[in-house]
Amino acid sequence: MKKYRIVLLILIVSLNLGFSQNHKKGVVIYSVKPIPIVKLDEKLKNKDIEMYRFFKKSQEKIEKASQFIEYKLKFNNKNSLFFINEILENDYGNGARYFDIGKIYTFSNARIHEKTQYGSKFLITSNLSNVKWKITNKTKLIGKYECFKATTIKKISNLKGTFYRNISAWYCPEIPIPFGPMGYGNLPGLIMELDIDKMGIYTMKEIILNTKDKIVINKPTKGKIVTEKEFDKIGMKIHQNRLNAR
Amino acid sequence: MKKIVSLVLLTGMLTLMSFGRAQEEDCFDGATRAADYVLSNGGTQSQADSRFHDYFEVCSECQGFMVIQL
Repeated sequence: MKKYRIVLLILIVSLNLGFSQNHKKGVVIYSVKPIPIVKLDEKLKNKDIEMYRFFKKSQEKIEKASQFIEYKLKFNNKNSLFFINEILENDYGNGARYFDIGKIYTFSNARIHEKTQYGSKFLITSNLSNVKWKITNKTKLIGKYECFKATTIKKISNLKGTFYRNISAWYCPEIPIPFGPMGYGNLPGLIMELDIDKMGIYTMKEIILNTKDKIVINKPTKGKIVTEKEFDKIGMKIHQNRLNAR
Repeated sequence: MKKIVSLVLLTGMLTLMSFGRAQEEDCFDGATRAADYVLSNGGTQSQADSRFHDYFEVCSECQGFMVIQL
């Protein structure tokens, strides 16, 4: 009886090892559902009808274009890369620019966001260990996978003050890969769904594990290297200049 | 006669330029206001900048002058 138990244990360990070995690289496709930044309520309508109309129109455009947008997460055993996949419908090419986030790399504990903004190319760096997840017992099925919920809070500093955004991730322990959309990860499973307040909900559409294609992810080198804080400061300065110029 | 024609043309150009400038200022003001709303609602500086350009682009296209990248 004892012999059988040992054999069974060895079998389970080998199966798990085999799974991890087999999932050293892959590609995940995510769809996106945008979450509006500005609330379209009566308060805004009564206060500033012109802005109400602009944001309404803009949100409708974003909503429509989102149906034709996909993001791709490529990973190997060490690194990951998240970016917008090719636009599915040419007609929505223009709307798709709202979703072009640049490229987000993760290397061990570092996140590098390659992005063109304010007329320059930036490499925005941040430390992934600063993201503190709270693991919960809540579960739900995404496709055929059982996923667990984890939450965290992101601090946003802008010219108007400090705000906090709720972020929820649904990860799948069955796929023990520590990556996910927008550079989020470090959870005991692949993030199948990521909900970032005032940004969007990224949901897994397709997973291709053990892809035969070689996945090489090299560190980006072109662009001004800045921290998230420094990048925000550049934005604050530009916005302040615009306010002064009015 | 030539002088009169030149004067009329110059006046017309100046009027058009000042009219265009006023409209451009309107768009700039609206775009800045749109960005301000994004920030007041907890958006990032980067999101605010995107909305600034969205507004400016739509507004300037309607009013028929070139988009100025700021």
